[in-house]
Amino acid sequence: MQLKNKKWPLIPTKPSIRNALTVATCTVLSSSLSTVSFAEEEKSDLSKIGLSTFFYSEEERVSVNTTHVAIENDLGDGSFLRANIIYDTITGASPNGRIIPAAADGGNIPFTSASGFSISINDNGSTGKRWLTEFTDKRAALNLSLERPITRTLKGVIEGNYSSENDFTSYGASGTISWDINQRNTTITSGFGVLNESVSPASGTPLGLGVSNCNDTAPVLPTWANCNITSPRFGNGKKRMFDGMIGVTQIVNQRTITQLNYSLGVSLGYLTDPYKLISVVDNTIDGEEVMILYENRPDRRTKHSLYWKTVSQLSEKKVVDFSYRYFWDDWGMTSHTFDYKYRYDYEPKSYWQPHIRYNLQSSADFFQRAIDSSIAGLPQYASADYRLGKLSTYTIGLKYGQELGVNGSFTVRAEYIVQSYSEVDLPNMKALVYQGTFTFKFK
Amino acid sequence: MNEALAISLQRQNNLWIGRFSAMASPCELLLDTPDETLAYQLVAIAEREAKRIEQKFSRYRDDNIIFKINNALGQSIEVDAETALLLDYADQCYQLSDGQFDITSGVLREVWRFDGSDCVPSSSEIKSVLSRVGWSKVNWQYSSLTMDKGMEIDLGGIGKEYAVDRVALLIRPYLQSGVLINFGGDLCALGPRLNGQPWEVAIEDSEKSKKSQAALVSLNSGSVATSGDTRRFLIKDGVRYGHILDPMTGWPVPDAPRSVTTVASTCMEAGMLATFAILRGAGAKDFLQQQEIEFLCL
Repeated sequence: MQLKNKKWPLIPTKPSIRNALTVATCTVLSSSLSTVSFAEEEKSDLSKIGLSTFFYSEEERVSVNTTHVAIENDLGDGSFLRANIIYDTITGASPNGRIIPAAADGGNIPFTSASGFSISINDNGSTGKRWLTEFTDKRAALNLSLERPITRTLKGVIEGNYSSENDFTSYGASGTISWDINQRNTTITSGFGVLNESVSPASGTPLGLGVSNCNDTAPVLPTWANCNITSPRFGNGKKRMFDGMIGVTQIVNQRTITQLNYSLGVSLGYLTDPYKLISVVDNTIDGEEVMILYENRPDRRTKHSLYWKTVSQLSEKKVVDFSYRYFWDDWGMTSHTFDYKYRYDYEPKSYWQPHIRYNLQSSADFFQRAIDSSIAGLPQYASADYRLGKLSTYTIGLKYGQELGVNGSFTVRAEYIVQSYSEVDLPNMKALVYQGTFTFKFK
Repeated sequence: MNEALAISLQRQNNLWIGRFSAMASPCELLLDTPDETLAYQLVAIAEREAKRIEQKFSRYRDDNIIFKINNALGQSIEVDAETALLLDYADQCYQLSDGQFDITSGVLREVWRFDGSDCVPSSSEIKSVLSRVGWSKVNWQYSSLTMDKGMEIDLGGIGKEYAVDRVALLIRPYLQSGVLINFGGDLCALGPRLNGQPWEVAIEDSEKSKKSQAALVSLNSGSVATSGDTRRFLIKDGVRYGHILDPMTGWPVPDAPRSVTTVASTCMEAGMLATFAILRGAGAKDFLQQQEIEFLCL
């Protein structure tokens, strides 16, 4: 046998660098499977707690201090349990509907407390504040909700609310369903809710347009007035509200999302504010206040609102949020609200967000500044509550948000609000809002 | 509502295309499946993983391990297992490239600003920064890292490719059909399309007119990565200074290709081969040929 002097086939020399890199990357990736997956598991199912303190202060009027705790518990499989606990203290004075006397010494009606407990009406004519009702109140509210996927494109939320003040309780429930269609580019949302409210002034709920007080020295009182009988009182004023909503949310493109909602609300029952008054004035004697009546509103109200909102990410760092709401009801009120927010992420973890808002509201059909004593009979409904009158509200604000580490964040915001009235004698209301919120995620 | 913007899922050309933004890049998954739920879940996994990696390894944050290491002021820092894996990998790449791939070279950016201007730093400026560059000066012993004050590490040259490969690993168990992962031009194909055809990936030459196609790569599985960025350079006295800096000299690698695209089994490997090639400057093509891989050198 002879060994042929055969040339051995050239074994391709493995490119050493590539070979080494293949080994190195495989090591990283295969090892990462065991080291990283745990860390990722820990990240999910985090719960969140938010603590917020809110301070609202109207110049010379109402101040509200709110403490709000929000808890969100991620139950996994897309379900969330949320709880909101709110505690408010409200102090200050609110316009009660009486006219502001033209003369510095005010009117002549000796006036006693109208409706007790948390309420007292000043008739200190010399300071010109008898058109304000002073009060203090505390409110505690609890809201619980459960969000749960029903099918892969259907999600449901059920919610319960309870709120209580000295003279006011409210409880209700609602349900909302969201349905993703059109390859998840469109979401249809529909909801329905019921709310029961009960108001119970300490000295009873007055009858609408019942007499609160008369001016004993007035030369002439209206023929329909009976100053010997002040308004009878009855127990709690109760009302029930039904709200329905249907909306569409559409992803327009990668950067823009838009939403259109229609809401319908029907309120039934005692819709009058038992603390609001209306003056009867004698226009033959310079519009002097001769009587004070309790206001009276219809016992039914149907409200509609159309809401359109668009959020658009202009660039990596800039997001604009614009919304418009048109509201109308069968009390003859309409309102337009424009809201614009601009968020600027000036660092990866913090942002500034200026905010402007404008609201213009028309008055209810039965709104009047005061009742003329010369009319032959009382109108069926009358209210001088400034909130039912024509008003416009401007808000400007600024919010700052920052992440704190991986699991925390805080925001602070301040807003300045100016409200002006064209059908009542009230001076412009100016208010400041401050809010600070801390949010933490935890296991 | 902002959260809803994080992921978009659309049906186009018989594919589910999931898009989100992470690591300063547009990220997308092309899923050749009719199953919308599956598509959404896979995109959600990808988005979460990409964001996780970005959050953990971005040098632009001040709450992660990179920040901790870069601000340790000479103290030892204990790192977690995943960071250790990537540091080991960076160490091997440093050795394999004879010191040309160096995760401490990022501080050179303090003097080199590739903004298309003609601001070329002086030799003395470069020298002073160069004293804070060099992986060999870093004391890395699993699982603790110590380096001099003023030095910085940056895993930016690894992170995006790592994210692509990690996402591929995480979603592979759920796949019934082909998926193409694309994080800002770094790609990984997981299986052919439903019709049996490979994915076709066009490589653009951004220096030429828009959408000019330099090459077409067909992939059943495997990765494509590109290194180099044609838009980042300086021009002074007619000399073009590319943005790939040689950590030994502190100067841009001379005659480096504008961009190198390579094909390999993993995205990390493809990306690192492309980076190695660019660091070789004029020798890029020879290097790539020696590695016996498919590549495109522009």
